[in-house]
Amino acid sequence: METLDDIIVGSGFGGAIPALRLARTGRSILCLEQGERLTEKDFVQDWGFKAQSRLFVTYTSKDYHVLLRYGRGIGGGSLTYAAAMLRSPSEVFTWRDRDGYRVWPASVTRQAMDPYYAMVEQEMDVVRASWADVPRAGGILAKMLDRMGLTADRSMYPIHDCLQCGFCMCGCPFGRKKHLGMNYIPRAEAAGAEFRARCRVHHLEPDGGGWKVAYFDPWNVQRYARAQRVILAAGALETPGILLRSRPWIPDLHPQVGRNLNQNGDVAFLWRVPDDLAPTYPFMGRNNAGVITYAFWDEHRITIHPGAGPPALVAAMDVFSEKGEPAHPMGLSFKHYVRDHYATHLFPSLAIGLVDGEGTVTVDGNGVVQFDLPLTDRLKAYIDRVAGVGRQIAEANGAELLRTAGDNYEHGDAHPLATCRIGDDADRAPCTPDGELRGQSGVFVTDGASIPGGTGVNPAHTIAANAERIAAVLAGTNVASRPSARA
Amino acid sequence: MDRRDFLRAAGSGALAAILQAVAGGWAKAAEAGFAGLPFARDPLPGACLLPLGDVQATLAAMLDTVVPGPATDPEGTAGALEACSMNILLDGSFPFRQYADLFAMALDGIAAEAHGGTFVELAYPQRLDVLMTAQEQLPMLRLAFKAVRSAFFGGAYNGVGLRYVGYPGPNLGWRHVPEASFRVAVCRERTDTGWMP
Repeated sequence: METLDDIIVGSGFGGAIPALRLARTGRSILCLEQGERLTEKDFVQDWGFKAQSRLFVTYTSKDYHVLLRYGRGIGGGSLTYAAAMLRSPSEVFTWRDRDGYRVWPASVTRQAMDPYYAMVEQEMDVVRASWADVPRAGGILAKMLDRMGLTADRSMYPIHDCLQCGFCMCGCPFGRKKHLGMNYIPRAEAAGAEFRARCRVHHLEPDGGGWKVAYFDPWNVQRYARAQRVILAAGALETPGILLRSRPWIPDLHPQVGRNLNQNGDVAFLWRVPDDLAPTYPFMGRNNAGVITYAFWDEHRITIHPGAGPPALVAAMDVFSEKGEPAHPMGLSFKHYVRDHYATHLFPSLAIGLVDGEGTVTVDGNGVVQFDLPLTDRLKAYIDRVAGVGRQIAEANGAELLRTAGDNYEHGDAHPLATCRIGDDADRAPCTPDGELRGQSGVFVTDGASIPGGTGVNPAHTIAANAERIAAVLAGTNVASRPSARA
Repeated sequence: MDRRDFLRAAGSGALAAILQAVAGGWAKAAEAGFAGLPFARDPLPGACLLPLGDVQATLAAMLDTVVPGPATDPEGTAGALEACSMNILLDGSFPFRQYADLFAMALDGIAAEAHGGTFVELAYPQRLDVLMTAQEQLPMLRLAFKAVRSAFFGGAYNGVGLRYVGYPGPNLGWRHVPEASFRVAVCRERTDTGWMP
């Protein structure tokens, strides 16, 4: 059996960052990744299912109302993210849930996170978009806000010399969007870390003072590797899935593992703009369309950013018009509506805000991950609030907000968080503020699962900074000095 | 030059020259509503699957109602069937195959109760009415409809839906197309950094 100092599960932001920091301390590192090793030559401008299924894992909620997906491949979600790297506002870190519980640890404030944000920005070469980088759709939203006397800010991206082809989320074939395979991962490999593709981790087993990791290799043969510490970074659905599958070997697993699933307050909708703002050309430019507005943050804790997206993004949403056309997202009228409006009058947007995590991740009898993300009254009220903000912008500009239908709100599909959250309260949070799984010394969580609540903006930067923060602890401290985990 | 070479060239110093050469043409195409732009190729084209047994006609009618094709659309343009969206229902990598029979039974049941005939016998407005009712009773069906739309408009199996809505598909970037960006500040900014303190 292979024996290493640290095994990392997953190679996205939560995995690649600790891999670099720990490898540089001289520890032996093995990173197991379920996806393939992909580079620019593997990325194709193709929204088709075959190409997309190579890049994403998709899960459907138990009630079939919500789709969640995240990236796979060496580099994880960074391969296909839209690449907005925004620091979360200070209020995110002091947010309290419906019970008055402060979800982030008291020691983890924006001020405490800033040095780690800065490290990520340096490693990934994050820069602010110029106005020339802002796609037309982003400029239209900015104009709409400007007419209301409101503000929109150009976003930050690890994108240089962008060609504005509109395929960020297929993986940038031109190498202009920086993903982890262009910075953290090669640097970690240079320091001795090994990234092993197409290896699916099934469960963990305690093994003398360390841990055995059971995984399936590329030929579907079950193997074990052993390490002093295991760092879980397989995403907010698979990280708890691995732990829940480990229950036969970890009977005292923290009961909150898999709970508090938070979709980051994502609410997707469309704008239909009037002729004086047309055309929208929503296929031109980076998929995160260059700007974000904080104009509604103070009052509603909501940010809104526009997208430049493929027609599937428009059509897959259960779009309906509050004014009657299209009345429902199917049939002749919808088909003709999309044709007549997509390229000239529509563009998508995503609102992100602070909500309680009320979803749950479980595993079925076959060990397959399931999730439930109910549309609670609290979530409904939040979505109505977002719609109210959207309608306000639309009405002030002669535009129209196209919502999603009935109770089947589009929950957003890319930002699941908080299923193994860090926190101060040992009863509510499975992980300590330093990411160690309570009661299981030597098991750490560093990905979106550890982020305890919504991030207010696209979460990639906060996930990365939090991984840097935990990696700094891991790089300087060994398991024996961590009594908090055994509390 | 094949597409691979095209993309490889785009990643090299030849990009600027290529873009300058084609940007003028693209700008004209933009003015014309992009109708004339060719596709580099269809997205990973594959064969359309067909269901077996007597559910075939019912499922085909269902797809032709979600995104009507030449049989239903007076304009005669392609629909879900031409986009191979049946694959969504029959490909084992999606969660619908095991429900295909159930879908057909549900549609026929609602059709009989509401309109006194099988689903395939109904006119388009009645079929649409049946689908609206069915998706309320079977949440899985709502997800299937969403996937079928996505397959058509997103070019999951071929490009007929993308072409239909005027999506230009693979490209070397729109940076040099004048309409791609306003290029100047169009709004006041709240922060100096792009993020809130």
